[in-house]
Amino acid sequence: MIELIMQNVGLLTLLFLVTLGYTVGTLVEKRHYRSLMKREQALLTLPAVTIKHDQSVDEIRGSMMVSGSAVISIDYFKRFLARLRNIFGGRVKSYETLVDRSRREAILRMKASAPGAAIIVNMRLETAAIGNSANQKRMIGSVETLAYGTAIWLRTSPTSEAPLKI
Amino acid sequence: MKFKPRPLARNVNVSQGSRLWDLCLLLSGMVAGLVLLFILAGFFVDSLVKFIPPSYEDLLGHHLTNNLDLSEDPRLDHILQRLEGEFAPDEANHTRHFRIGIIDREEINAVALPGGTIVVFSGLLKEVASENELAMIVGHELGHFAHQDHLTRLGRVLLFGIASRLVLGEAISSRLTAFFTRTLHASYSRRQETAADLYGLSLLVKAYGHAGGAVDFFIRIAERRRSGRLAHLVASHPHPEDRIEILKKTIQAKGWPVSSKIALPETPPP
Amino acid sequence: MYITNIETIPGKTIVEHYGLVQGSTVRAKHIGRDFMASLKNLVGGELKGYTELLGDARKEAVERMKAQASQLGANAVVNVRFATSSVAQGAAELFAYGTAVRVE
Repeated sequence: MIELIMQNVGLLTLLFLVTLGYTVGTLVEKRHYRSLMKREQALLTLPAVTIKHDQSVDEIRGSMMVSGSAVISIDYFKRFLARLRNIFGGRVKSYETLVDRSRREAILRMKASAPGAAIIVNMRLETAAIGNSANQKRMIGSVETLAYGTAIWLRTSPTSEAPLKI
Repeated sequence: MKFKPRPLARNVNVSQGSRLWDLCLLLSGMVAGLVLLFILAGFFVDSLVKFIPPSYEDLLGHHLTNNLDLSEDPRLDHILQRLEGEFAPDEANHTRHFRIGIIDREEINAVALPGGTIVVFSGLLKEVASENELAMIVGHELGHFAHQDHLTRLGRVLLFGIASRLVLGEAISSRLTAFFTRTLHASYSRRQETAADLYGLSLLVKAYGHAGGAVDFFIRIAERRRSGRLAHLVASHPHPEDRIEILKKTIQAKGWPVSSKIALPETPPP
Repeated sequence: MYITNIETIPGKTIVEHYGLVQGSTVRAKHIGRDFMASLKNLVGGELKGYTELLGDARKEAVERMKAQASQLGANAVVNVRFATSSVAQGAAELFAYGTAVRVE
């Protein structure tokens, strides 16, 4: 038995890392999604849009560029699944949650940096690759998203007493 | 234009379905692919090996075994000569030239190398009690040459290793292929070993007139190494007890006599 | 559903907007395509397999964005932007985002 274990150290390490990645990774992801949903609900009244807003000039109290970014790491299970997927092709489901999480987190951070604003206009999203080295051994695999836009504060806004950091 | 805040109930950017199920599908697909690759590589190598001329193999073997520290032993040469006289005139071994020698290593093993070189480890020589036992081992290695196992094994492992590395990429293959090569190769290799055992046995009987000493060595090893059956599922050699059983059955079926063995002379003076 | 990459839908008026909508997908190509592409790399020319794959993926990203928009009750997405990032070796992420609106 011990002989058998000794012969397959590589395989057992892989099995252990994949199991660890799956259990802990799933736990972390579930918690992150819960937190995302809660904060999104709280910031629901602050829209971020890709269009240039045409508010009439006198209503505006001020505006400022705001941004938020997040780097989310992959786990061993996701990486292993993606490597296998690379052989057969198709939808890489394991990375979908990753980009989704990092994007939503970045948008939330951007929104959180504009307290009291009425709207964030001309918002753009920028995604940096999960590192081209993510498939290689001992390389850090992660996805970075940057969200940026122009936050607009209104005079008539109900929260106009809120600080305007200009 | 007015803003209407509305929550999103469903996340459309994440595909439905369990990731574990995904993993199962992909893994089974990969294993199936590897098995297919192994069979193809084996078929390719086996049919190619027939076309390798002995002269080229000798050249290759010469390069491989040139810097081996092989010491000669008159007892081994004597056994080899005796067995060589018994080759059937139509088999490949008949026209070949063999070389035998000892390497100073504790392992209980003997190997057949390309180019007709048989290497006996000194650890094995210590365990051997009679000339007949040693003749059985040398006969077994000659069996590998007769079936060209020494080439197919090398070729299979080499080709499968390269092919799987190309398909799977370095990262996965380094951890997985080692296991699969061993597991897949094990059953094939065990068949080879059994065939070589039977070849060695018939050669032993032809040379010595009886089957004495054919199983003694394996019995001793089996008692020494009581490894579990589980480990032998992936081992390259059959379980010693299985080898003994097959050999005994063959001896019984053919009705070969089992007479007394010739004692192996003590270590000759250098 | 109307999709544009300008601020408005020409000939329509935007009455309501619902904020950002996004759609993304990560796709990998299989070994065979990879192999063919590496051969094509020797002589140049269009990688038809890759064009097709990325086209399909982009279509799916737009579909997902539209699905989000209809969840919000929108009938148009304006000022749509595309982004492509090479996510890991041999895989690409296609991303589309815009502002969900209702037009009349």
